Amino acid sequence: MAPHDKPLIEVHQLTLHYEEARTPTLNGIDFCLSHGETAMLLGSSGSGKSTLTYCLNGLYPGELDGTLKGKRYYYGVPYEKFEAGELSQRVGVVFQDPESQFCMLTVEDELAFGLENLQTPPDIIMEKVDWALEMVGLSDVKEAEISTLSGGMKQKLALACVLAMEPELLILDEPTSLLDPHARNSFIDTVIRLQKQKGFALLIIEHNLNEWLPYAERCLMMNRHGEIFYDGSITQGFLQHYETIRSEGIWIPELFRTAQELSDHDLIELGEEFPVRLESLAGKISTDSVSRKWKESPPKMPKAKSDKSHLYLQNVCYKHILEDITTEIKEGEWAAIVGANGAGKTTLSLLMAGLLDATSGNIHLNNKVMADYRDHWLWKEIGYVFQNPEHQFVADTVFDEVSFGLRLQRVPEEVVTEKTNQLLKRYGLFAHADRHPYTLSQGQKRRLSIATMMVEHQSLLVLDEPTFGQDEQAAKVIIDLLEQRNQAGTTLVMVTHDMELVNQHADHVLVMEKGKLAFEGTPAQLWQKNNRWLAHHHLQKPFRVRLEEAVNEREDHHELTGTQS
Amino acid sequence: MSKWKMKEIVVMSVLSVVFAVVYLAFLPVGKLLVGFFGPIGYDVIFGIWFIVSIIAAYIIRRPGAAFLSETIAAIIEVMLGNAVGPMLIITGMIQGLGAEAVFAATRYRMYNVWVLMAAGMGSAVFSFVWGYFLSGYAALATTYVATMFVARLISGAVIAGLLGKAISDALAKTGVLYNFALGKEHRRNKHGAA
Amino acid sequence: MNLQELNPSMKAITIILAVFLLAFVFDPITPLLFSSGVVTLTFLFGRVSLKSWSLYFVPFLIIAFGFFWTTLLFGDVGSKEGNMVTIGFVTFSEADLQVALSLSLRVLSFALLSLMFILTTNKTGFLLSLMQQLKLSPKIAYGVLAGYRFLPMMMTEWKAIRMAHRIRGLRRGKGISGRVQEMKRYVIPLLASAIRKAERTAIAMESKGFTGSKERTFYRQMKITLQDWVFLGVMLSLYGISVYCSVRWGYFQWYDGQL
Ligand SMILES: Nc1ncnc2c1ncn2[C@@H]1O[C@H](COP(=O)(O)OP(=O)(O)OP(=O)(O)O)[C@@H](O)[C@H]1O
Ligand SMILES: Nc1ncnc2c1ncn2[C@@H]1O[C@H](COP(=O)(O)OP(=O)(O)OP(=O)(O)O)[C@@H](O)[C@H]1O
Ligand SMILES: [Mg+2]
Ligand SMILES: [Mg+2]
Repeated sequence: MAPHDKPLIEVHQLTLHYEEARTPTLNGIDFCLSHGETAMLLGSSGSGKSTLTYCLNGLYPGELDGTLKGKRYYYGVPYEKFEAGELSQRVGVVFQDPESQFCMLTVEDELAFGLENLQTPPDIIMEKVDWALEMVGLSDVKEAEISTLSGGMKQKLALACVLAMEPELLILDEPTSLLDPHARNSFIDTVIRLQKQKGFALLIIEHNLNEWLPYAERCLMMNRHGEIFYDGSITQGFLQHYETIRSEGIWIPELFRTAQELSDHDLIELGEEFPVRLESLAGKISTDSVSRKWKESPPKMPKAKSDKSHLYLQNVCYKHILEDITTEIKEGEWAAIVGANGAGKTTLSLLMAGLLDATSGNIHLNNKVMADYRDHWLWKEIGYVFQNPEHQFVADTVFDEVSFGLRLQRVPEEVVTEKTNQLLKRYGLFAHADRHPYTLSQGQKRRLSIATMMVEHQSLLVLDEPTFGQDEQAAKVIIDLLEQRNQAGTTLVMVTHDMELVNQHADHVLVMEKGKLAFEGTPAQLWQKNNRWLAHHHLQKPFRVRLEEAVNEREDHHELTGTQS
Repeated sequence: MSKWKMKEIVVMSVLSVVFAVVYLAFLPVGKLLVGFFGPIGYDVIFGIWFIVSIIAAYIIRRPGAAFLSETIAAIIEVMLGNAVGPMLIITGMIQGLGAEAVFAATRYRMYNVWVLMAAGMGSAVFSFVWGYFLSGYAALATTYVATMFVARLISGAVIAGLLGKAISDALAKTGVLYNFALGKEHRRNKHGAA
Repeated sequence: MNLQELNPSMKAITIILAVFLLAFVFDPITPLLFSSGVVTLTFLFGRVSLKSWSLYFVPFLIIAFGFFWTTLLFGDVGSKEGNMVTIGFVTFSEADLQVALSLSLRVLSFALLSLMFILTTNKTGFLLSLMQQLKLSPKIAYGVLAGYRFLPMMMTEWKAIRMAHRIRGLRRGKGISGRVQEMKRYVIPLLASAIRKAERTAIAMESKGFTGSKERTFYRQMKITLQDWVFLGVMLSLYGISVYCSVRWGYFQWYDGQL
């Protein structure tokens, strides 16, 4: 095959219909991808991005229950001409869920598995395994069991497995969703460095593309009907289709959003395309224009501040995971717990909700020792939203799920029905009231799990990564709901990797480091810390803070050079 | 085997893993019952040890599902550490064959309550014969052996057949079996009723 | 010889064979001698830590003891003749004692054999060798490995579900139907999420080029070497010696269905 005169992948009028689905999931998709090219695939949750992945690496139609129409070519050769498994080698995929893409017990065996399938001789497997581990920086855990790795390490291992097979096209399906900001950046660096070395083409699926912007030129955007409505430069595309993108629920990178807002206020000239680097946006604006603009934006609604302690942790330790944590959360506060992967955030949140018992130390709720509360009273005081919403479903339908708490309280049935319906409508779940909670989409499940916590009137809500894996619309719905509750006086504690969320909503930030509390204060105080400190804790300043700094720096620099000349 | 989809195989082995743990958990229960009631104690709950064949066959509906799932469960039990050791694999294969024989007799076309109960009883028969030779029930009084046999049959039909069906149906209701034979049947019934 | 380095399939076959052979014998001496041999081998050649061995062994010991006293009390040998022995309040015949001892030692020897296997065998190696030596289909072997990985995951999920139920205000079920409901609320979500994950795992395996074909190379080659035959020989001789001693000392008995 003379490779390079034909595009690497060519897809023509690809239409996919899952059995039993009312409408096709992919709808007349057309596109080409050349050798060594990089493209982003964007679309709201459930638009069919992962489905397209399966079509591209040849898994469908073999594994598909449904119909697939249209033509697919690989270097000009129709897909049907390839032997089973051959395309899987040439198109490598890192899947969405890092938990469920391994089949062996140890790191080494998992890497070897793919190579064995290609009938690579054992001595060459050995070399490639070492090489791939070196590339992603996992050489130290070569013989470790996969179940002992952290989420971030698993995502790296998945990458290494695919790399070892030396694909010509690498597809990454939300590869960084579980990573802390620092780990995310280093993952992206690794991928880009390897692409330079090996020259594979890259197709990246990601909700939040902030960090990818400097590296990707081209993007494909899918709408809810499974059609590609834009194919071209990212910077131009977002400018031209800004409103469509918003209504589709696709995340708009902070950089673009800010540029758009500034341009709406006539503070900058946008021209033909959005800037892709913070510095280039910073180059266009001045300090006072920025501060003017942000002073105009309405400040957060003032809350009735209370000085009453709601949750008080005193020298709390938990096994070997948490060490000597002392902190206080005031009534009506919105607190955020941040920190590197594996720092102990989830564990701390579980302790705060009374779901784990501290090994030593005391936890007070409303000035009363938590251990003194009876188990069945605690749930009236505290709500907890788990990272995995499926865990907390207890009923067979969405309706029963929401009304469950009310029924436990022996509220009369008419009231239950009325209240539940009202809630379902508010959360956009009314149409799905009869479905089993498991059959909802990821975003809907998350909203349902939050809704079930809202029927009670707990005074404290603890949430573990409430917006992870959501598209922009779904995330916004969730945040608005939380904001309402918080306004009404509920104390919120959330674990998150999203610095924008922290910056915009939290009053109080706790930074965890290896099981200890490394910092406590307001977000503004946190952003005062120097970059070395933040990097050490795997944090990143939110976009606006970085932008302001860049503008200031530039102006300082100007002044300096000005005086020199 | 070549007709099986990979996801059917992995789902089957995951079911086997889950029930291997359940099987291990029920061993002490059996021991306790034997302590109270003598050898018949085991037979009363023996059905639990066939349940994965019924569930796997009912969900996946392919030739070999009953036999393989029971065999895999036995392999997993050995990997987890079971008193009987590698020997258990053979016991598992024999129990699986019992259920498989019933499904084969319907040419893998019928999966109603009666067939599932019969499959549980099939496992009971095969395992009883195997146990007869291995543990030597020959030494016991004939009527007692007969009672044991009946107890095991009922247990196979009720615990493996009925409970197995109930668990699978509850799973189908959640929608996770969307791409499996049982999930498809549930959808058809739902549409048929609507 | 090193038990850890033996071929797992051969080791399994050897051990199954030993179980079969032991099953034909029913006296206290043969299993006692044989087990002592097995324990010696396990520690001399198995590099097994005493701690993990005891962890497994103690439950078996309890089970064996259970067999011992239940047989003594409920055994249907029931001979009230011959020499009687009294321990505390209970009295029984020497014949009963021998049956009870035989049975519990037999159970114990089965357990010790399987401990020898389990504690010296790498799980992945076992399946690899089932594939390479016993021609198990790769589709099944890798399916099992994938399934095995789910265990630790499900432990974590179980804990999470328990906590979630607590926060929803669910209390422990009362009565039988309450208990059934409670089990259902645990088991169904656990199985459902396992099935979902299994589906995704299968897709990931295929996308790594796995087709289930038998034509594949193996990173870890499992071979049958002289060692494996030596082990078989050692185990058979151990059996032979145990039986011989038992016959010499006049305890030997074929198994004819005692319980
Ligand atoms: N195996 C399947 N059978 C039937 N329907 C499916 C299947 N897989 C996905 N779907 C449906 O197809 C649609 C597209 O799913 P897909 O996973 O491709 O979305 P996505 O764009 O990757 O979303 P996300 O960003 O949430 O990962 C969804 O509505 C989903 O419910
Ligand atoms: N049940 C457990 N047993 C042993 N170690 C545990 C357990 N749960 C968590 N850990 C360990 O404790 C540490 C903190 O875990 P935790 O889940 O609280 O981290 P996290 O900060 O929430 O991380 P992430 O951002 O990746 O979710 C990790 O190193 C983890 O491996
Ligand atoms: Mg997806
Ligand atoms: Mg966490």
